[in-house]
Amino acid sequence: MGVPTPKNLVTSANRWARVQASVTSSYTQVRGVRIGPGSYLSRDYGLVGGHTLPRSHMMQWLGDKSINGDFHNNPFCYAPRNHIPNYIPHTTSKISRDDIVKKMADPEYRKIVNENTYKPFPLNPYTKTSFLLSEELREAILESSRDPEMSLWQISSRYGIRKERVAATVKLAKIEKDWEQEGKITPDLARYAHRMYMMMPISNGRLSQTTLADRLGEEPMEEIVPPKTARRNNIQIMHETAEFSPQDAASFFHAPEATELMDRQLYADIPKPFSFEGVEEKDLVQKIKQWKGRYTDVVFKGENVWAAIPARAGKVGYRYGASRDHRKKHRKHKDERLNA
Amino acid sequence: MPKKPSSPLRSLARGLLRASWHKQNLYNFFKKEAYRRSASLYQQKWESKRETRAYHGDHITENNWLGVFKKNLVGAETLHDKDDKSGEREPVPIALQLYAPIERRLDMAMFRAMFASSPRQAREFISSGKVKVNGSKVKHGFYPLCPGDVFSVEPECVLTAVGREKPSEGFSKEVDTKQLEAFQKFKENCKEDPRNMFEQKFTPISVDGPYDPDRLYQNVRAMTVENLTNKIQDLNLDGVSAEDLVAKGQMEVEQHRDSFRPGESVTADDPSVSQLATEYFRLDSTASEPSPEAKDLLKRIAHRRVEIQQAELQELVRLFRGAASVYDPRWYYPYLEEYCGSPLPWQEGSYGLQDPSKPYFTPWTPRTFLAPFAIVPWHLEISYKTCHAVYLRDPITRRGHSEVISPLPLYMHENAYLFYVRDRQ
Repeated sequence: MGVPTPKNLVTSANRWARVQASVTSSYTQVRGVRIGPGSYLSRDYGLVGGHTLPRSHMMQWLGDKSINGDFHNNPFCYAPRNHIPNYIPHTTSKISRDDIVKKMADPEYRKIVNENTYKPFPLNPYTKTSFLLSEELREAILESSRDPEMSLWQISSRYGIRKERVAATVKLAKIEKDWEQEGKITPDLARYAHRMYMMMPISNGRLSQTTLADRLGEEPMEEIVPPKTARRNNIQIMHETAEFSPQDAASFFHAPEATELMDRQLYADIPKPFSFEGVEEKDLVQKIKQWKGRYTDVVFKGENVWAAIPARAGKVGYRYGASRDHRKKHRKHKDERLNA
Repeated sequence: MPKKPSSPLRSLARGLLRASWHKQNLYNFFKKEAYRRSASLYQQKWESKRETRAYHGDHITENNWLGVFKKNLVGAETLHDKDDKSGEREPVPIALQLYAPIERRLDMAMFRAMFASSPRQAREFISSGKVKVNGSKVKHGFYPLCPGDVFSVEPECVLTAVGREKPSEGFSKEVDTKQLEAFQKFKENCKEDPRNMFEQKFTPISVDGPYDPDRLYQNVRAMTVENLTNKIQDLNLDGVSAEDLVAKGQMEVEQHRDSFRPGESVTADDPSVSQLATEYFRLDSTASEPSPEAKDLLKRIAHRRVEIQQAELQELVRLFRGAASVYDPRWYYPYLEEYCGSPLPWQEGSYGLQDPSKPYFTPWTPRTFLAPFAIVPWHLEISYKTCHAVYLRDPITRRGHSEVISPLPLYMHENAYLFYVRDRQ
């Protein structure tokens, strides 16, 4: 609380800095410089304090160093602790950026919060920062997620947070809980997490609409991102007499052939792999032949019986090396032990 | 192997904006101005390409970038937007989607989540096996994340990247010597003139209203809390005799004699001094010796006046509390070594080396010039406590907003898009 930092010790330093700031000429520079004769980078213009002109400008902008080497008078030096971001300010034609730096020395200037406060880059107003979920909102979301009657969609619409973000919050909360139980969160890590939380803008979403951040932090839920399949033209113009086979259609739609699709439909109806358990040896061959006729090849290898079962999407094992032969043209099927 | 930069990354003469938190890069950000040089279209396109590629994946070679470049850019629309045909609605900055495929890369996502100070550093962490995606180690910076993927970084790496640089032993000693010297001077000054140093240290800050130093210095700083509390104690009427109270009340009544109008009705429970005085005049104003009822009224008048003064003083105290705590001539004692037990009470051990085994400044402190880069991305959900993050989805663009973070103006992205799309129909 009352512990002085080196900055507080020398109170006259701040006053001196204000005098210095009024002396400095301009922070902004001429753009599009050319290096060569006539350029202000040229040696003809001399060096300023042993530095080139741009570098001396930068050092002027950085300001004086404190005892520990910080440029403590620069308004961007220290990270904020009040959830109000400290971005490069937006300027108008009336106020230059130099004037704004002088203004930023005033602590009251930082308290002015408007939509531009949340736009990090003055040249690109379309980039805006998002908001961290405030502690209250996060707790509320986690509380609702424990309620079995609340669906993801309901939680999302209640708090104004997208579904995938709600799911991610729950996922991360579980990881955090595990880490706390395992004692993995060191004091330094906790300190880091706290400082990052205080540095970033936070929002209450729809929990309490009191600040501008709460209003901006409410995510647009009704928007439609076109799915990948809808991003291309599905109409092909061709001559009346042109040939158009099922293979052409498949390649045009980037989809499997119609026959293959129908096959998949057929296999989807099959309830379970055929079981040979309890079948006597004399009936085995006949049984296998039946099975073979319906499905695929059966291979005898010594005592073992192998059958090639058509691979199903999502269940295909993928291993590097020799076993990856389902990619080979001559063996398109996956091997699977019978009765496994 | 990342692309080798052809010129210094943070060259002040070129002034390119890089994805990095370096203070020199911040200076380049700060001085950057929007301008459109009068040049041929191709020159404009080339320049835009150069400027945008310097920020978006400058560590990727041009061929690798062209591998992920997509001609078709996609924006999101709401149903409401489609119905809205008015001219006021904001445009969709669709060209800012140009570099959206790069945001899918693991190294870029790490930089956006603020787990690394630049994509190049993120790449180092990844290739040294400090990063996991969905629980399994991934060693390639180009690893494309899919929606729902969880990636995590070793906390030690993150603390090093975001934290202040660890000082060398020599520098730490140097800083400590300087600090001791300054602190010694401060303590000596305190011993000499504690009042002055107290006022210097706790410079007044206004509690309410706009910052107006003149008002504060005149009204508040001239007074000390000590004086105010003494005044309030003087106002206390507990031990005052009945005669004094009556005399005080009569003084108050004299002030209201002019405004007295007989026949005016007064409500009995109104505590204001003027109302009480009016009641007094109506009750008994001619007799030389006031009646007991009138005496009671005079006492109440004295009490009421004190209450009002106390409230005024307390308002001043409230203003002053914003500036400082209560002054005590021994206020600086907690800083003395015999009381706090260490020469520099705000730090343990030497400067920044509380735990020298750690690769970062201890106790952990954020690096300087971090503030302008502290941006929360829209397409990631981050847990700082565990250094985990979830890739929610590919960044999209909507009316007046692009989720792809870029410091460069829209027209530069448009020109760069024109450059890349030139013969890829």
